[in-house]
Amino acid sequence: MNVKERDSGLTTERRGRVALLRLNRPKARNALNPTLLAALAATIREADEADDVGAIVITGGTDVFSAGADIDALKGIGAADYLHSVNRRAFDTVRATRKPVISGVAGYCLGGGCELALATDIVIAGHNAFFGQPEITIGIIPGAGGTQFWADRAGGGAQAVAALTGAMVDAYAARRMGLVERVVPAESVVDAAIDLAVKLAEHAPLAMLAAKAALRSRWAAPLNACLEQEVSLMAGLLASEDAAEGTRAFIEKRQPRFTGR
Amino acid sequence: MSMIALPDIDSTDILQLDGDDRTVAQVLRQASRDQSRPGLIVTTRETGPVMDMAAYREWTATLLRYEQPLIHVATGPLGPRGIALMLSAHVTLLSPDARLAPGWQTLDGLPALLHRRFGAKASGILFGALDLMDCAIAEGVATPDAAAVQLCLDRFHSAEERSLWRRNAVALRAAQELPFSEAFEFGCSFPQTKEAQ
Repeated sequence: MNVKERDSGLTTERRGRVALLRLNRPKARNALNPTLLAALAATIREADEADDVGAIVITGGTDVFSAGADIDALKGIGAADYLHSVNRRAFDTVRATRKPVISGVAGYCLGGGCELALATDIVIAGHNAFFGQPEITIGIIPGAGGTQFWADRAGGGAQAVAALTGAMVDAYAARRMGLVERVVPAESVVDAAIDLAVKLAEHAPLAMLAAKAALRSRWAAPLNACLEQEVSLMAGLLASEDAAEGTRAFIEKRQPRFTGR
Repeated sequence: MSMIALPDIDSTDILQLDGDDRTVAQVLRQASRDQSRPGLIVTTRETGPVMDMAAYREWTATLLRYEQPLIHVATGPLGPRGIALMLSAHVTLLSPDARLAPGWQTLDGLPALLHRRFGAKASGILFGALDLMDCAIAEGVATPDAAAVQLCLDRFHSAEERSLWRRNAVALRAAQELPFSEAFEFGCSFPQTKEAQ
């Protein structure tokens, strides 16, 4: 087993023709900070370009996928910065991957973590998984696809409930609404994702690339336009007092006091 | 089937779910996170109606999602809370004095909870043609049988059973939530099962 540890909070392994990317910041519940996202983007790009990789798995292990963006890191990003931030580029990279990407999701999969999972082609959920976009509760909105990807999989109503209420759904509800493709025992979620990735990696490489390109083609214009809009909105919100108050309140573990400014 | 007194259960094993719904929700939230427990044994003396809907929804969700064996010990009159515990638990152990209290039918969400456990018989129970306690015993939801009660409690405390019972609790919920083929696949996807193949 080829295991490459990085200081970034990302562990990478190779399982034959499968690249396994493991979010590995357990103390921070795999919160996505710029260092981790930069490593994720670089590693997934590397795997996408490697001839001997046929499929990619992203997982957080059997306890937590990712509790979302690292709020401390988000606090320092301004409106102008966000448009060109590491965060934004990392999610763009995941979405642009030409090879199939499977996410193995256990435990909390929230905010940016949920956007990361839903940006992959196939989501396998552990029975203990919870999905949600809680950004609205701290005065911002999802900034990496969380206002679009739910609709793509589960319909506009599910999208609206997720983005407007911040409510979570459990693995079984996620399966019923089509947000995830399979539910397995949490302790098996990484193996299940790898097993499927191994099967995909056995298919003809050119056909696999073509299939994925075809699947993603319907995203091309309209979704990108939506994502641009989403990024612009998010960038604007980062300059608001409500966003500052929301992130401050989260860190201070108290209820936020929003003023609408 | 003999109906005799429940065997002695160490009172420290039992979560006494009295008080308001908020307290119950908090107690269950903490207990469900305690990985050192082999499961939960719950009981209540409360017979009044649900007073705090949000808290009631929270504590029933905690029970329905619980990943370990969940045993309800029913003694005395069973009001709405006792019925909610019976219908959410994996099994209810009935003491001889267990009986329905007036107003048990007012439990919020009762039709769904009954249908989950009894299927088509739920309508008979809701509209008075069938007796809930008779159905609970006949369907294995509850048992007054002393030997069965003792065996259940022995196995609950058995270290050898712990892993299997936990797996069964998780897979049972999958069976309730997923279509059959997916639930069956789920049950075949535990690491030990896979190694056995």
